[in-house]
Amino acid sequence: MSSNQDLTDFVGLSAILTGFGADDLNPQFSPAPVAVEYLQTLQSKVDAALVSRMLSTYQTISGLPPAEQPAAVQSQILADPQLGPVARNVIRMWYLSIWYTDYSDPNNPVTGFSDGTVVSSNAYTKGLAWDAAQAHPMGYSEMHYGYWATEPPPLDSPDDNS
Amino acid sequence: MMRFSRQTVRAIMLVSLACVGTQCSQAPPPPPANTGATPAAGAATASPAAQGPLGSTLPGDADFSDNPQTLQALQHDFDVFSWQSFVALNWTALADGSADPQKVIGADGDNRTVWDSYKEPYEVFLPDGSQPPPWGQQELPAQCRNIGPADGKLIQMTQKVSDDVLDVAGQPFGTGPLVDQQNGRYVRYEIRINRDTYDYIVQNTLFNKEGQQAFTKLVQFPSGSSATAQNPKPPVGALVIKAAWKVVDPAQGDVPGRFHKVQAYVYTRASDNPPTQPSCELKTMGLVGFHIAHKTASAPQWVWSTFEQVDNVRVGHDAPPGTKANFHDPSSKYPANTPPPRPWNPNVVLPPDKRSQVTRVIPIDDATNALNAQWQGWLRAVNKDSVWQYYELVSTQWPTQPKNSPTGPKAAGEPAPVFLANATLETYIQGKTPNVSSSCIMCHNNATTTNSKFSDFTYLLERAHKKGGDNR
Ligand code: HEC
Repeated sequence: MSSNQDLTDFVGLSAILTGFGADDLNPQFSPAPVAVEYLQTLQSKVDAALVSRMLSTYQTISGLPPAEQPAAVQSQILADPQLGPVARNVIRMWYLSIWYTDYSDPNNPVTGFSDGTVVSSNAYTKGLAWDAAQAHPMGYSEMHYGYWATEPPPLDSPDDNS
Repeated sequence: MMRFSRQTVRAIMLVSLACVGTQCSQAPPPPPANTGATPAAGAATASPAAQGPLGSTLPGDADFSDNPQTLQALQHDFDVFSWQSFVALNWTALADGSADPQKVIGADGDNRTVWDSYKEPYEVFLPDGSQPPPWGQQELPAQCRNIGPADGKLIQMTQKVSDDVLDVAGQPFGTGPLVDQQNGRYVRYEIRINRDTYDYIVQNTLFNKEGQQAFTKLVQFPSGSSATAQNPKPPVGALVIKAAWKVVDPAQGDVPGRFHKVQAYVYTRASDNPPTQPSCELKTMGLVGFHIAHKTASAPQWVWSTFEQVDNVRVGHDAPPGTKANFHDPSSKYPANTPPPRPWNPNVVLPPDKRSQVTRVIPIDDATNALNAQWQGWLRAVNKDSVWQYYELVSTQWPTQPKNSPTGPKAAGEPAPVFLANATLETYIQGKTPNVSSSCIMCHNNATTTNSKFSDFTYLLERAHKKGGDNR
């Protein structure tokens, strides 16, 4: 089970890893919070000690001035031989809503993307790749009918990345 | 078609209504229960003295930004908004259709409602695309004339989606008819639109295809807003209702005192498959499902409320012994949430073993049940025989991110709850599968005009015909 602190740390770390704001990843009024599902997936797929080392490493980093945090995540988590692959798999999970089972070899582009599971039907609709591209997953669109005929809003529009 | 002025025939209708159901009385209606009326605080129209929070004023906006900001607290606020709307729409109506300031909802057990004088789409989107008659006049199909009061309610949709819309949307909706346990008869549906919706359609000539083609702006129905000191009578905004009715017949085991009832023309269109003649019967119909969609300033994706009669999928509270659920029989072997066998003929009475077996796939949540008990109590306090105490809110769907850009990837505004269905209106698409199971906002997000432009969440505009008729 995940505690509230775990969720806060997970969302904070994910914000730095994905480039999306923490409010976008876990909106205050989300009716189906995907962050909770992703944390549970992480905790059920990865050795508990490793997950808690990653989250506690981030917790320390979160005490730094915000401007210094990304570099610290790079050096202390992404560059760590054990944490790095897990963190990269977390990025993929957020963007593609898939947990890749062979996360231990992310440097191999073939096997690194071979076997994966879509986290849930809810998660399928919420992959960040779609938001980043201002698109939508196949078979599920929250855009108004006919959106393709109008100019998309600016990429940095704050309200569209929930 | 004949035209009748609503105002001249209302009186006939009221008398006939007073005589529907169990408490049929020859005497004139009793004097108003509550004559010492004082207007509710901030109300645009006068409301009677306190009956709990029961009032005849429709809430204008759904802006709860001052309240404790949690998902649950906001859901509660929207659910209260739904109940306020339900009560105001079903408030006792005067002859002109407006709310009677002297008479609380249900004071006489049942009552003619405010929304009963709202327009039906078939009155607005005429077959020849001509200018619809002014607010307040009704036209009847030929089969319905001379068999009852000229302005009786006309109910004609036998499936959730009308023929006009089926042409456009096709079968993927996967809907089918719903058949009640007591009578083996098809549930009928109707749609009603309020004045602000009607005015927007008429003022912008959106009632025919040519008008929609010529309309180059984005379709944006007016929004409701709340009363302020500067603006004490704000617009209600676009409000659209979809209602489901079943035949109520005490001889077949229905308990009429548990339904809001109308005498209605039940009109069945001609059809080739199976061959069906157009017909019209005058029947006592009881309200079993009630959708309200209301566009407000704080919810441009609209607020979606849905109510049901309490006996739909199980026997509800305070039922007399022997009451059976409307759409569920524990002893039936007919598969649950499955449409009746084809061919679908609304004129046929289905045998008991083929009648609809409906279950609620997503239970009503505890907080909403508690709120329902509270409002039902207030309605009962008006009159222990009030039919309105036998309705319950299933839930309210609202946008959690209402300010999302309408051209962006999350324009639907992240609705909560994610899924919502009424057992009588989205019977066959209940559940929790994205894009398959019922979500009011997500499905209505696909609604368009006849020239395939986004139509602001309402399917109404798809019903427009060409000037002079589509076969011209
Ligand atoms: C699968 C798609 C779908 C879902 C889900 C759905 N509706 Fe609709 N709804 C429609 C269609 C199609 C119509 C038009 C029917 C017609 O005109 O015959 C409609 C009509 C309506 C209308 C009348 C106004 C209009 O737009 O034509 C209201 C009000 C309404 N629905 C409310 C709701 C509510 C509340 C919910 C959720 C509890 C809901 N709907 C769920 C498809 C849907």
